[in-house]
Amino acid sequence: MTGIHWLDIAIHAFNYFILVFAISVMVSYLFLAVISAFALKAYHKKNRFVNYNALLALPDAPSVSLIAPAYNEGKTIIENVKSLLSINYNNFDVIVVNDGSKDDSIPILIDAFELEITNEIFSPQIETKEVKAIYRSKNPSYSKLVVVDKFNGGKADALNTGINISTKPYVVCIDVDCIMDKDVLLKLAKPFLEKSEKRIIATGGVVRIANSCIIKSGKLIKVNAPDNWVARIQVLEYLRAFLLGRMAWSKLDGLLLISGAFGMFDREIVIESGGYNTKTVGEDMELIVRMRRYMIDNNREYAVQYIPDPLCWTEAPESYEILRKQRSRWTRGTMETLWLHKKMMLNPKYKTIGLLSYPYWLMYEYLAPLIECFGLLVTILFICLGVLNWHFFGLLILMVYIFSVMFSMLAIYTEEATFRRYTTLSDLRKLVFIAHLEAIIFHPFTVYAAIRGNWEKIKGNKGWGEMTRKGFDKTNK
Amino acid sequence: MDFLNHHYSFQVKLLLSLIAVFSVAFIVFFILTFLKRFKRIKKNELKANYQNQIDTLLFELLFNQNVSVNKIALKFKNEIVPTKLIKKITLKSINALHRNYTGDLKKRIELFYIESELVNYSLEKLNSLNWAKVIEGIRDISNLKYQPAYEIILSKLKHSKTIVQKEAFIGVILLKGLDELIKNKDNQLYLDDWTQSNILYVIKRDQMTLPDNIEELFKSKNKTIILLGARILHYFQANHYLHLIENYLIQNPNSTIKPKLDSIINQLKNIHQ
Repeated sequence: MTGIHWLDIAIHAFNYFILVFAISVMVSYLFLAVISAFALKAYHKKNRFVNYNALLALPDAPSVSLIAPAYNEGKTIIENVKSLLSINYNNFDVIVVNDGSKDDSIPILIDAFELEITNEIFSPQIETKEVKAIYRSKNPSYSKLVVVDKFNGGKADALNTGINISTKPYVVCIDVDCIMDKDVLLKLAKPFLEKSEKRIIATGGVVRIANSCIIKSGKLIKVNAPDNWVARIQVLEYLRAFLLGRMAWSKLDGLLLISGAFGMFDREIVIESGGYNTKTVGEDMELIVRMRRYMIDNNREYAVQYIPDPLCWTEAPESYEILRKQRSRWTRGTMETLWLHKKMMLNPKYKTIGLLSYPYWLMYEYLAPLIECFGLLVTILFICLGVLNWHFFGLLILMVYIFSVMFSMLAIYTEEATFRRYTTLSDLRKLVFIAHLEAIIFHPFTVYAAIRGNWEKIKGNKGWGEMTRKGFDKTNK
Repeated sequence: MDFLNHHYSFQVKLLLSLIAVFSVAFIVFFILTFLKRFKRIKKNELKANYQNQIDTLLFELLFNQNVSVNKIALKFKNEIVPTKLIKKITLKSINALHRNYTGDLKKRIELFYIESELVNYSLEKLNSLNWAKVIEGIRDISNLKYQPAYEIILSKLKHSKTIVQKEAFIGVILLKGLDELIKNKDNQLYLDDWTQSNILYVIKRDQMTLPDNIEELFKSKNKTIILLGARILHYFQANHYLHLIENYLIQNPNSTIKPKLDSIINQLKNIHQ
């Protein structure tokens, strides 16, 4: 107590504000985790006997185009494309879109897959940058491969080009360097086959971290917890987000994001709703929000499905600089999507997504780092003025820290009770250990990156930032 | 001042309570995680041990024709002493073997299923309140062709869960062949594409033959059964029955399954050419 009445009241009000905000965040996380737990249990019960190969018996199994945009991926593109071509499915093609790479991606592809230019004519239904050439292989072994060479327009533009070229009713948009489960299409296609009254417009799956995993010939051989701490912390982050978050949003019919690294879409609805937005860096989230909004605005019954199986493995940034760029971009993407669809905010017409998902994203995904930063600045001010209640401050920090460790432990437990991809005790110990450090070393950094994202948005930065990858081939011999 | 002190005291109590709750929750999840892991390690060791014993027994069943199935079943019951886990592992193994073998070996596996009383374990599952167990039971019994359970499986077509009804539908086809599909042609069960792919899969796996009275299927009032019928014709490349699909489309030009039937007609015509 300072003895100055108005200041004491202000300090109390501030303490309450921070406390209520922190508790509301925790309650929302726990609420989602409980829903996820039930949804995961139901999913496992329903799918424990499923024989995915049965789908291969269906002559008219959903036709799918795998669209993989590539930019300067020359070093790894052959292995990546071969990995995509070896996916277990009977009705698909692979469209690699070279987005104006500055390296020798195209000559490498031509040489490796015996490509030749075709005179195919396609009518672009979504506006994109000009296509230079479409290639197909002379070799019947690669008859499923289509390579499109185009002028650089960014990832969204490349995906739109792939969607234009595709003749299949479904498209799977992926990052070319992701490692896919061999049954990925069988699992993604299943919800589309089970449809009844509602039209499935998109299916998303879980993305996992592949750093330190053993990968051979584009296939995941063994899962390991990453040796690098930054990557290992992201394993926890992904477990929490995909197992305890998105599963619940899917159950609540409020999923606003299907990862850009991996998602299956109804091509017709993608085109009707305008394709990927090339003006945002959060094109993956923006597309789902727009597709959902389109369906509701047109009074059409629809569903967005989510598959909790780990089907896609990606390389996470291992350096703080790359991570900072990624997180800044995610913040800008969230800001742009929320702004573009502000009409949905608390709008009952949009049901769960308007009344729950949108406010949640605004409050806990976008504003949370800003509120945290504000809290930190006020705390520093209190310290400078000598009015900080260290006892309260210490307890608050301790409570937040313990919650963070507990919630990560819950995510590890959920993984252990469901998919159990981390098979050794050593991996488990590594994850539990890093859960204790995350709140101290990683969380403040992500708040900083989010603030930088806001600042970059204010400055008008629209770029993706250089995303250098270490590459699986260097980590796994 | 008292008012502020009161609030401060409340905030501190709240924080301390939350710290206590989260700490306990952390300890619980920590213990559960490692407990689960250790239990799994132990279970895997146990499984590997049982699997060895079962593999030896099943090897004898398949490749030592001098020993009767009854004797091997007795060995299973008396020497291995089947626990729930052993029964599960054995069922998994014999299901896999049954898929891989034909003729006499297949028959020996089916007989072993009965003589070893594993069939009773599967029959018990059919009465379970847990629908997942019921499905497990239907699958084991129908895959291992235990015909006396036909009526029970047929009765599951009226189960309260659609997923069980679909499994029972596949189960009776597995037991009695495609004639059963024709017999149940007026069932109103919605056979989605996923279920249909499973039916086509078992037709292919069990090398079922096309019934002579397949045209009966096209008299069904269930359009999903009509679609399944067309897919079956496609599987058997039976383009001499093409008229059945075409006639259906003439009578039902606005049917929702028309695009899929058109696609099958085209594919069948291509086969013809």
